[in-house]
This record gives sequence, structure tokens and C-alpha cells, in this order.
Amino acid sequence: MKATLILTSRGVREANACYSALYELEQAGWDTELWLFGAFEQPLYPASEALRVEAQGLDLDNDAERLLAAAEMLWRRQKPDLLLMPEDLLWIEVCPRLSARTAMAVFTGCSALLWRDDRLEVEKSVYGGNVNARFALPLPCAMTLRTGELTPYVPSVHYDGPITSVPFDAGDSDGLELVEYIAAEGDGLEEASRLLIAGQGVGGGAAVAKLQELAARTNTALGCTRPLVQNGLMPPGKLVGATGVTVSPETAIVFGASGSGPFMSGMRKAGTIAAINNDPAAPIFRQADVGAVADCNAVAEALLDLLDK
Amino acid sequence: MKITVCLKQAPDFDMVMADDWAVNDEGGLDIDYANRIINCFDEVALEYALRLKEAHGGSVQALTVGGPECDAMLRAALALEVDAAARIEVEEGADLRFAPATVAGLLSAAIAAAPLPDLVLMGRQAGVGDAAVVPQLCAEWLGFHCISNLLELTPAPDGRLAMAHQAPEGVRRLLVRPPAVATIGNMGDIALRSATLKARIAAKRRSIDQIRISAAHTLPQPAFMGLKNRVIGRECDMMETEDPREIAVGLLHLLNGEEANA
Repeated sequence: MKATLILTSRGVREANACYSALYELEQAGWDTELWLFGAFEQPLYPASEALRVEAQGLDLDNDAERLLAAAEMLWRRQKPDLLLMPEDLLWIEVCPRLSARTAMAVFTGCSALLWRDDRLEVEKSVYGGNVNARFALPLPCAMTLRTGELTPYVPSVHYDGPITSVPFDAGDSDGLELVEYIAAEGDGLEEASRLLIAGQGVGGGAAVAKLQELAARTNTALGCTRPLVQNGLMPPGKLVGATGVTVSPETAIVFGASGSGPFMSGMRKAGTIAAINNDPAAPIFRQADVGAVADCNAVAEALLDLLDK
Repeated sequence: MKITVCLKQAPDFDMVMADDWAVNDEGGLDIDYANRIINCFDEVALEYALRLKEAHGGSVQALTVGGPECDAMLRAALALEVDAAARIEVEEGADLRFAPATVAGLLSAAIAAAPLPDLVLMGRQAGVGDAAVVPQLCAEWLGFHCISNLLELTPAPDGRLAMAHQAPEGVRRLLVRPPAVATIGNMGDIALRSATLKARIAAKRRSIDQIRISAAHTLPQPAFMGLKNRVIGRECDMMETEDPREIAVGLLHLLNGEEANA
């Protein structure tokens, strides 16, 4: 059996989370392989083989069409039993499309995997992130990994073998023309060591502005839960949770969030979580380390007052 | 522009009491009391489809997969003045949980069997934790372009669709020759409108097309083995004060890497 991990030019933490899946399978006797897309400079897992797609001038970090074409080319050449990829906006699109083209099974959102009794068992959050479900996977299968939920594995030795270069001619995407690409300014949520979170309970724009001021004055990143994005109070890039960013700050202060499953699934790797909510029965208090029952706007104001002094 | 918007009913998880997320002795959940609603992503897809029709003309069809229990959702869409609503019939008792390839196979077969739309709009997933693969499988099996996380769409003068969509590190603006499947994610500041009482009454008299069709495509699907409780692993230390200033002092300690109650 062979498991292949696709790596792109994202961070070392994400790579290490993916390595934990490879390690689990390698311990069970699987061969492992790496496919590198773009200029991946992180230490590599000591797999049996590594290949790099050479696609000069292509934006492999943002262009799902080209990534899909490149992944399909490599799949037809290498035919792994299990193709793993980190879950983000790009690969969550590529993974099922690749499955449709190759007739292999598809599974997304994997948070744990285990090879047992010649069967691959996997786990993921379901029902809005409130419970987990276990599945047995048919093979071959393409699967995305929720890197924020996997325990990172840091290899003690790294791959030092040859990296096979695979040329890739993307060609044109018939009927689809890129007109403009506007790079987003990094909001720093994923890397932030200190984080404030605005939940629905903070109220409207004035309260959000207060938290923005607090974040600026404490040099802390500000994220939010989904209702604030839906109401246009915060941009989509600030969303923390299963459909947004998975964060891992040392300290997070959560203002006025109920503690829904989708939001908390993006917070599981946080260090200390402090929650402020005026409802003592709010589920957030079952999932935080420090809690206070209070009006979160009054607390935000008190914090600003303290900073003034 | 001819638009098909695919809708899925999902339980309103906000109604579920926190204790009811515990897996019961039979390995299931006791959450049947939660209302069934159009999921939040599909709601935005429906609203956006209606706005596109108002701005540029054309028609909107609502399409779903499921039994008669889905008719209330389709009637709600009809009350919002979609032009037609259709339900793909499934066998009684069919379990479509964790079977996205089956759903995608049925949707794509039904879409392919009718005059093709220019645009298929779908929420990126029915709910958090769902597979988020149905739109992409449909796009591939229909041979349509696939645009994920749509932010804007306007018809271009040459018949193409000018679309902006969210990419991991920015926004991409594309010109796309239809037909296309576009997914709706976190679009921001778009909420589904409400129907008037008059429109709701009128919708009751409109027909819902029932489609009986076999999927032309499917994939081997993961076998569901059971549910398990989430492990939280945190124990909350509640502050003994409700005074905002005292709480603020504790929080500042935390931000400085000290104990909250120091």
C-alpha cells in the first residue's frame, strides 16, 4: 500500500500535521511518497520517494484548475492507494474533482486515521462540529486533512534522497480566463500568539469597533465568529472556525460567542481560552479555561480604561 | 441567465441543547426536535440567485434531493418567487447521510436531463462538518466550470460571466464561459429575504416537480461506523466576580502571560 502526501508552500506547522498521517501509515507498513507543488522549502518527511511538479510561472497556490490538472497527471503516473492533501480553500475543491476524474473515493475533513485489520479507519467532525464520526474508507481514496486537528509529528530525520522533477504543461483553461488577482493582506490570525474573538453577543458595529481598538492597543489579532461575517461586520478572512481559519494562539479571549461546534473546531489548538458571556449556561464555558459571566462590552470598555491609565 | 439553485434541508443546530450532543446508548443523537431549515450557505445561494435574476433577468429553479419532507423548504423558495421548484425522489427510508457522491450523482443527472442552466449555485456545504464535495462532483460530472467561494458575478457583454471568487491568498477575477457551477461560502452581508403572507399562500397552490431519475455517476463511498463524543479536555475556572473592571484586570494578566486571577 502506498500513501502520498501533497505539499504546497505553506507553513511548517501544517506540514508537520500532515506528516503525522504519513507516520501512522508507515508504522503500519505502508510505503510513503511526497508530491511537492511549488517551492516547498520545509524539512521533508523521510518518505520513500519525492517528486516535484515543475510549473514555472503558474500560481499553484491559488489556481485550482492547474493544481487539479497537475495532480491528475501525477496520480495517473504514480497511482497511490491514498492521496492526502492539507485542507484549505484550494484543496477542498481539488480533492473531490480529482476523485470524479479518477473514480476513486473521496473523504474530506479527516482529523484522525488508523490502519487496523487491513482497513483504513478515519474520523471527522460532523453535525456542525458537535460530535465526531468514524468511517471505513474504500481504497483508492483522495482525502483532505484538517491540519488544525491533527497532532503534529516532527520527524527526527528528514528526506535526503533525490527529488524527481516532473515537468507540467498547464496549457489553457478552455473557457476560463483569469482577469485579475488581488492578493489579500495577511491578517495574521493563523500565526497570532494572542487573539481576541468577537462573537455574535458583542452586538453591532460600535462594539466591534471597540474590540478593534482594543486589539490594536494590545497588539493582539482580532478574529470573529460566523454571524459577524454574515452580518457584514467583519470580513470573511477574519472568520475563525471550521469554515474559516484554524488558530493556535497561546492566549485567546472570546467575547460574546456561544461556543458552537463550528467555531470551537477552529479553536482546539488554542492554549488558554478565556470566555466572556452574559449567559452562564453558554456552551463556551464548557470549552474554555477561564470564564466570566458579564456584559462583554462593559468588559471591553473596562479593558480600554485600564489601558488609558 | 438561467439559474438552478440546489438546496438542502438541515437540522437547525442552534436549537439543540448542549447536553443533547452526547451520543446515546444506540450510538445516535436525540436531536429530532430541531427544526429542519435551509442550511445557511444554501440560503445565501438562493438569495444571490434571486438578486441576479432581478438585476439581469432570467429564471431561477430550486432543486433538492429527498422525500416529501423537503416540500416545505421548496414551498418557501416558491414563496420567494423562484420560477420553479423540483424534488428528486429517493426511495423511502433511503439514508443520504454521509453519501455525498449519491446526492451529487442524482443532482447532476437531473440537471443534465433538463435544458442546461447557465449557472448552478450551491452552498459550499450543507453544514459545517459536511463533506463539501457535492458541488465539485456535480461540476465534473456535468462538464461545467467550477468556481468555489463566489464573491461577485455579473454577465459580461460577450456572454461570459465575470466572476470574483475567494482563493486561499486573495481574490481572483475570472471571465467564465457558461455553464458553470459556483459555490457560496462566506459571502458576507447577504441574508435571505422574507416572503409576504400573500406570497406564502400563493406558493401553496404552485406545483413542485417530482423527478425520478437514476444517477449516471457515483463513487465508492466511505462506510459509516458510528458516532463518538467530542473530547473537550478543558475545565473552566470561572471568575468569582461579575465586575467588568475586575474581569478586565484578570484578562490583562492573561494577555501578559500571567494567571487571570493573579
